[in-house]
Amino acid sequence: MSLSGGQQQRLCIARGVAVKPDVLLLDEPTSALDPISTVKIEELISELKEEYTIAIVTHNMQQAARCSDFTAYMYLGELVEFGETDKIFLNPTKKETQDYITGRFG
Amino acid sequence: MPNEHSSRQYEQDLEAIRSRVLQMGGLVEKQFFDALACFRLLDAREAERIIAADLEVNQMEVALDDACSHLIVKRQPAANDLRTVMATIKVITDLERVGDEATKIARAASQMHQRGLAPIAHEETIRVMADHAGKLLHESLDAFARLDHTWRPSRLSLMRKWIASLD
Repeated sequence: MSLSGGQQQRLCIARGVAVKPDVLLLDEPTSALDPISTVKIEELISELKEEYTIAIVTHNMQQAARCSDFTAYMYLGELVEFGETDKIFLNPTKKETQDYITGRFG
Repeated sequence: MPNEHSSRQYEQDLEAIRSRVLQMGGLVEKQFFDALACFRLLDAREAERIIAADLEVNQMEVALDDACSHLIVKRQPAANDLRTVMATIKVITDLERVGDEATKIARAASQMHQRGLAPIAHEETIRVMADHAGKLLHESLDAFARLDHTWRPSRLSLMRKWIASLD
């Protein structure tokens, strides 16, 4: 039996959830997936976040805006800004954050 | 903008939108002042020109609206870029309306001219009101050009009070 990339990824998340963790850390969970599998993972995340705290690492800006309630922007290991996702993506406090999310690098 | 965008084309697209809004603002401002001069002088030929020139303003609104939609689809703007695009969509709708109002003033002038009416008795009242409105329009376009978020339309409340006093 062979599983698709999306199926494998969901299996990995299931294994993580099986031990009933307090926090689920997903490091780039969709970076190697096609758009349809990505949507499935994102839907799974929005279901799971009702019961678990999920920390997700992503370079996909739209994904961060879609999936998260809070966003932390990190650069070279330093936390630049942390806040509600809506605030970060619409009106960030720090110039560095604004430069990054708009595609300018400060 | 303090920093260049990593995509130069994106930066150029944003800048083009900003400058075209200002260009449209300048055009509308001229329409407004021309319409008022036309109303004062009851110049029918000038009225025709002002009414015809509104077409250009309307076309600019359509083109800018289109440019904003394209930018959203292609670049998914965020933060200040997104706010610029959203503000632009609202601003151009309002500017287009200012153009329409200028057309109405010109049309009124033209009709008064045809009926052989003299400039009206309330000319001074209208002049003061137009002066306030014109400055308000000019200052708000200035604030948009400078990206000045501190500007407040103080003149607006002044104007409202003044209009209320006429009733």
